[in-house]
Amino acid sequence: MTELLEVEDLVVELFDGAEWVRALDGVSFTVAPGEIVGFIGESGSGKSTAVNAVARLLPASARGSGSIRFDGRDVLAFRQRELARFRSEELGMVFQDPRASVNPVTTVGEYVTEGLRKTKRMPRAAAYARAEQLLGEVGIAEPAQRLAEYPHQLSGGMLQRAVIAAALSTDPRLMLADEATTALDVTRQAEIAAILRAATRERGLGTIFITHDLELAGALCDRICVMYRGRIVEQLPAEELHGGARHPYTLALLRSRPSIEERMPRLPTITAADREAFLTAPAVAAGGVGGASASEASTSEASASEGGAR
Amino acid sequence: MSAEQPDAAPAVVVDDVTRVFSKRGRRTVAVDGVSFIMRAGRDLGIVGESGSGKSTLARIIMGLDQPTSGRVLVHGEDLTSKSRSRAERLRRAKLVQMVYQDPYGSLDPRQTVRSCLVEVLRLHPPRGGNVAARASELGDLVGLTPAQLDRSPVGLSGGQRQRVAIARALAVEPRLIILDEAVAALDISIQAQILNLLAELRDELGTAYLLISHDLAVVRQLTDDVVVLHHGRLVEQGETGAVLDDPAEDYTRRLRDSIPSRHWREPGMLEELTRVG
Ligand SMILES: Nc1ncnc2c1ncn2[C@@H]1O[C@H](COP(=O)(O)OP(=O)(O)O)[C@@H](O)[C@H]1O
Ligand SMILES: Nc1ncnc2c1ncn2[C@@H]1O[C@H](COP(=O)(O)OP(=O)(O)O)[C@@H](O)[C@H]1O
Ligand SMILES: [Mg+2]
Ligand SMILES: [Mg+2]
Repeated sequence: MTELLEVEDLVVELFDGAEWVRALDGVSFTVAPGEIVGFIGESGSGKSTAVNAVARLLPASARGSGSIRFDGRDVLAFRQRELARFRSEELGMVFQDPRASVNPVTTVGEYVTEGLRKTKRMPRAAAYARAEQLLGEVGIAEPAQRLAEYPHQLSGGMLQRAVIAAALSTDPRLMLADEATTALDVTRQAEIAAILRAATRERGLGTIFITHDLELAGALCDRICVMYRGRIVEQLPAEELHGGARHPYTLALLRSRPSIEERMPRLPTITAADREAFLTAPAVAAGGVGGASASEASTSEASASEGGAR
Repeated sequence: MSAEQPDAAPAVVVDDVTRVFSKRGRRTVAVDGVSFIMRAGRDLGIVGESGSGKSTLARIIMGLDQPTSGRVLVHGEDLTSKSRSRAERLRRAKLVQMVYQDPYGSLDPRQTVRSCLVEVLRLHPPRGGNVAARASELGDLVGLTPAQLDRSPVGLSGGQRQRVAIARALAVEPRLIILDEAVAALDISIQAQILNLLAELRDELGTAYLLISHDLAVVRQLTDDVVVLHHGRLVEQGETGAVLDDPAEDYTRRLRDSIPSRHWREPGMLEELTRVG
């Protein structure tokens, strides 16, 4: 299988004003067209840094090593123009707060058509016609009317759909969704999940879906990368999340989630000793790392290179 | 000590409460004729989508907002109608406290966490009267290190700030704490710790919780009874386990089925659930 995105041994250090923080510590993963790869892990584990690195959106002071290949091209070697084109034509990005993505004083239509007008150089009327289709694609009723409205007139869930429509407008090949459903109700979340899945499948997009909600990643994604302190400690097919996870961190996360089925006397928690153990436990990569049909042998090989501390 | 006392006076009575907002000629019925009882010694969940009126109801129960019509009693007291002397305010504070989803706005960035706790403790002196010791104790209770207590809330993570907010509410030693999406933004492991912490504090201090959440698993974990709101109306109420296992109303069922589950992986399931595409 040809991968759309190949990230290898990525190390990123960020300066937080006082010291260098190793936000990514040797991260390797791939995304294929038509595939949703979930990134889960607690805040600070490096999920956003990983996708921001792919989009080359890290602070200028960031330093590191490793490689990022998009469709075989070396993303880290992109010069200004190539980078601008990569971002505007190949990437779609959706973040947690749709209101931070839109301009509150212009209409939804101006926002959704921006990529069409600027990147695709479409005339205004054509761009608006296309925007109507796109809003339809993300399940927004009465799209023409919505385009004429201002962001504050749309609910959060509706606006997030408009943001996805805008992200899809330039026909990107890679979608980066960073906590795109986190601020939404479960019903709205399910809708956004359905939209992202449909877009991924129908358009053959590669999608990276970041969430701290394991159940959501398990329900929506094809594969899951579990991040802990800048490393991917486990990669596994999403349908194996329950029952198939092996890394102690993944298992601990699964256990500490309350259940809708029953009330537990006490939720298992993660101790400082557990956290030490998570760091030393070998990374788990179940198939698919760097190839379609990885055996147990190649699994442990991948683990070794991934866990390799420097 | 959340032993059931069926005959005890209810903790909260919400009696036919309606709240209408009128803004620039637009009328919003945020809460629409809602009645329920929160029984003493039982924790209550309020669930519903955003805009269903949960926070408005919480503010009314807190006495921060007045219902357009209807009445609320907290431990027998009508918080909306009395004079506002200082002594009265302090006494009311001991009835009910609130913890919000993002306590950032309510924490003063120019103050350390410790001085924020000390400020509350000066108003509500702890038993024994040792304010400094109690501040450290509260920090300990909610899992903040002494170093974190001496920082500004600006330097803390979301989970740490939430602990500060819980510590600050606990400092007052209220009978009831309203948690308005208070664990929603937290990491799973932090959420588990906070949920355990809340359960321990309930058993230790007898504090009762009115938990507002859109996360039904969290509601199941912490509450005994639940009230389901939809567009400001109460659609269903009952014991949390019974309501979630076997919802009587379609709306509750839809809320429950929107929770991510392995069923989403079955062909067409997610699409059917969301009617998209
Ligand atoms: N702009 C930044 N400057 C310095 N440190 C940062 C910056 N952004 C993130 N970090 C640090 O990098 C690590 C990873 O953060 P992040 O990628 O945002 O994690 P996540 O998205 O999983 O919550 C954390 O330790 C965080 O504090
Ligand atoms: N101060 C206000 N002025 C006008 N409308 C309000 C005000 N507060 C809440 N509302 C409206 O009341 C409804 C219920 O809001 P809220 O109680 O915040 O719901 P929830 O907490 O369930 O999300 C919403 O339609 C909201 O826009
Ligand atoms: Mg992030
Ligand atoms: Mg609310």
